[in-house]
Amino acid sequence: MKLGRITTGCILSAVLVSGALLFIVSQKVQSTERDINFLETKIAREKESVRVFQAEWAYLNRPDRLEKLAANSQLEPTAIPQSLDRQIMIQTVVVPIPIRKPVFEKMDNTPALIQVSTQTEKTEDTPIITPQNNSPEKDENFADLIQNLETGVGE
Amino acid sequence: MKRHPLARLSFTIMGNKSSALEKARSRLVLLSAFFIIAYLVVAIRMFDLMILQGMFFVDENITQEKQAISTLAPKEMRRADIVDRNGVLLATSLKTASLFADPKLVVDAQETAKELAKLFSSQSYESYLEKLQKKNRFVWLKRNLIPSEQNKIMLIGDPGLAFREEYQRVYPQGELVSHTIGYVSQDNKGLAGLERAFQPLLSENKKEVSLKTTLDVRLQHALRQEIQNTIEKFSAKAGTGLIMDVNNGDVLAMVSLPDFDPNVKGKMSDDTAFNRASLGVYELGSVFKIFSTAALVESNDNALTMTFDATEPLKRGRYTIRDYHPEKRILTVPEVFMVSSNIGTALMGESIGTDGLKAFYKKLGLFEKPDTVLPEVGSPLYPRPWRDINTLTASYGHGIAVSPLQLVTAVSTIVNGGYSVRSRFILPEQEKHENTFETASVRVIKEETSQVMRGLLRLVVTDGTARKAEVTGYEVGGKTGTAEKPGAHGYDRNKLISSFVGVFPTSAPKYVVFVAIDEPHGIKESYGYATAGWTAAPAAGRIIKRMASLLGIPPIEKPQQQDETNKLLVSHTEGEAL
Repeated sequence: MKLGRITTGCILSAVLVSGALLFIVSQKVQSTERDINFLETKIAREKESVRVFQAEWAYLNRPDRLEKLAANSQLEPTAIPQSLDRQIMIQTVVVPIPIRKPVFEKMDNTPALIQVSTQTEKTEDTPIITPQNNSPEKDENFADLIQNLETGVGE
Repeated sequence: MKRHPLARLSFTIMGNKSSALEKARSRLVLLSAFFIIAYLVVAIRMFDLMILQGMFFVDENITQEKQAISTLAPKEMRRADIVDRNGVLLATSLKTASLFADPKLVVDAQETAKELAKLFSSQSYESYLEKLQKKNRFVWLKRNLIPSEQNKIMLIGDPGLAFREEYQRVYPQGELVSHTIGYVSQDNKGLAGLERAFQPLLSENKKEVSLKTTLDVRLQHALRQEIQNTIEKFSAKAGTGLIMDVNNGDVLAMVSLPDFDPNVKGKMSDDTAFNRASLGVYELGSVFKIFSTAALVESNDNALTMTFDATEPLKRGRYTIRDYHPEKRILTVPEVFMVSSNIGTALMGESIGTDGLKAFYKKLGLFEKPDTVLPEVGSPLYPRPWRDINTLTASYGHGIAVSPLQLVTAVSTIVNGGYSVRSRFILPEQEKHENTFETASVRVIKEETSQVMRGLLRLVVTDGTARKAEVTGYEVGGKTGTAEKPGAHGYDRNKLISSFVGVFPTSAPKYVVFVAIDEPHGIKESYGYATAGWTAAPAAGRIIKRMASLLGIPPIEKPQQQDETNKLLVSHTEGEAL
C-alpha cells in the first residue's frame, strides 16, 4: 500500500518534471527558431543592401564621372613626359601636393571637396590645389537611376 | 487551545468503514491534484502565448520584414552579376520594392499622404491624398525604391501601404559596355550580348558567382572617349573600336558608337543597338594589305627583295586599279606596304595566285563566321564565285567584307608569332565551352613571317601613312585603311570608312588596337583630309598612350635594332623623310 503510494508519487513528480522540461525545451526551440528566422531575414536584407551599395559604388566610380570630379578638384593626373631619360623625367614632373591632408565632406551625391588650408606657409615651387565649386550634373544620383529604370524590353 | 484552521483536513477516520473512506479521500485528493495541475498547465501555456510570445510579435518591424520577405516569390532566382576582369560591376540584379496601397485599409489617409509627400518630392501631397482616397483596392504609389527609402516608408506604419518586390537588372556603367553586355527582357531573360549568350548560366546562378568578362572598364572608357571625340571632331556618322590581347584573344574593350544606355530601354533604337564591332561587316580596304603581304612573305623566302611596278595604274579586263597617292615608280615590298600602294599589292596578290591567297585567308579564318560566344556576329562577305580579278582586289581589301572583331583576331594571329587565336569575352576559369584553350597554341603561319610583318607594321608608323599613331617608347606598329563605302552607283568617293589597326610593342606584341570611323569629314586641321592617317591613326595613338599609363607598361628606353634594318629596305624612297 505504502509502496504503491510512493511509486504513484514518484511517477507523478517524474511526469511533472519531464513535462516542465519538455515545456522549457520547446520554448527554447521556438525562440531559437524565431531568432534564426529573424537573423536570416536580417542577413537577407543586409545582403541586399550590400548589393545596392556595390551597385552604387560602381555607379559612382564610372570612369567618366571620376574624370569629371578629378577635373573639378584639379586632381588630373600629371602628364607623364614621354622622355626616356629618367633624370629629366624626375626634374620635369612636378607633383602638386595639397598643403593639408584632404578632408572629405558629405558623402552623398555632392562631390567631395578638398579643403585646403591657406594659412600655412607656401613655398614658391609647390603648386597648390584650390578647390572649385563646380557641382557635377544632376544625373549623378543613384536613387534616380533606380527609379527611372526601364529594364527589360517588351517582347 | 485554538485549533489550526487546516487541522480539519488532517482528520482520521476510525472504525470499520475507515479503509473505504480513506481510499475515497485519497482518490479525491488525486483527482483534485490532477485538475489543479491541468489548470496550472493551461495557465502557464496562456502566459507563454500571451506574454512570452506575444511580446515578440509586438515588434512591428519584424512582422513587416516578414511580410516583405514573403511577398517575393521564392522561385525567383537572383540573376548572376557580370563583372569586368578587375571585378568592377557591369551588370547586377537589385531587389527593388514598389510601393502600392490598398485604400480600404489605409487608416489615416491625410497623415500618410503628408508623410509620403515629405519623403518624395516628385509627387505632391494632393496627388498622394487623391490616390489614397480612391475607391478601388489597389493603387501604385511609387515604383522601384531602394532599401533605405523602403525603410522610411515602413516607419510610417500605415497598414494600407505594402510593397511588391522584384529583381531589376541594373547596369551601373550605363552606356559604356552596352554592346558587349547586352540587355534583358522584362522577365529578366537575356536578349543580347553576353546576357543572351550566358542566359542559362546567369539565370540559374546556383553558386552565387559572378560572370567574369575579359573587359577592362578603364580601357573601354579610354577607347570609347577617343572614338567619340574623333567622331565629333570630324563630324562622322559612327565609329567602332576594339582592344585585343594578341596572345590569348581576350577582348579588353569593344566599342560601337552610337551606343545606348541599357538602363533606359525606351531610348534604344535599331541604330544604337547595332554592334558595329562584331555584327557589322565592312570592306576595310588597305588594312587587308597586312594579310596579303603576309601571304607573300609566307610563300616566298625572298619576298622582301621583290619589286613591283607601280608607275602606271593597273589594268585588268574592265578594271583599273589606282593608287591614292601615286608614287609612279618601282616599289619594294616594304615600300608597297609603307605607302599603301594598291597597284603594288594587287600585283603581289597576282604573284601569290588565287589559290595561294584564298588558302592563306582561309587559314586566318577570314571566310568563316568567327567562332565566339557573342551572339551578334556577322558572317564575312566575299565574292562567290571568286574570279582572278577578285584575288587582286581582295589583296588590298576590296570586295571582301569582315567584321572588325574578325579582322582584329586575324591581325593578332599575324603578329603573335603565328598562332591562331579565338576572340574571348569570358575569363577561362569560368568558360564551360568546349575547345577552350588558355593561350593560342595552334600555329597557322611561320614564326619568321610574323617577325617580318611586325617590322613592316612598325615601318608604317615610323615612316609611312600612320605617323600620327606613334607613341614614343612604345614601338607602335600598324596599318591604315581608307575605304570608300559602296553606294547605289559603285563606290562613293565622299563616304569613307577610315580605319587603323595598331600593334604594340612591335618587338614583342601584346595588344592590338583597332579604330574605325564611319564617314568622317575633312577639317581645316587635317587640310581637308578624312583619311585614316588623319582620323583613326591619331586616335589610336592617344588610346595607346592612355593604355600604357593605365596598364603600367614601362616605355622601352632604346629603340630596337629591328627598326633600323627595316629602314634599309626602303633606303631608296624618294620624298618621304626617313
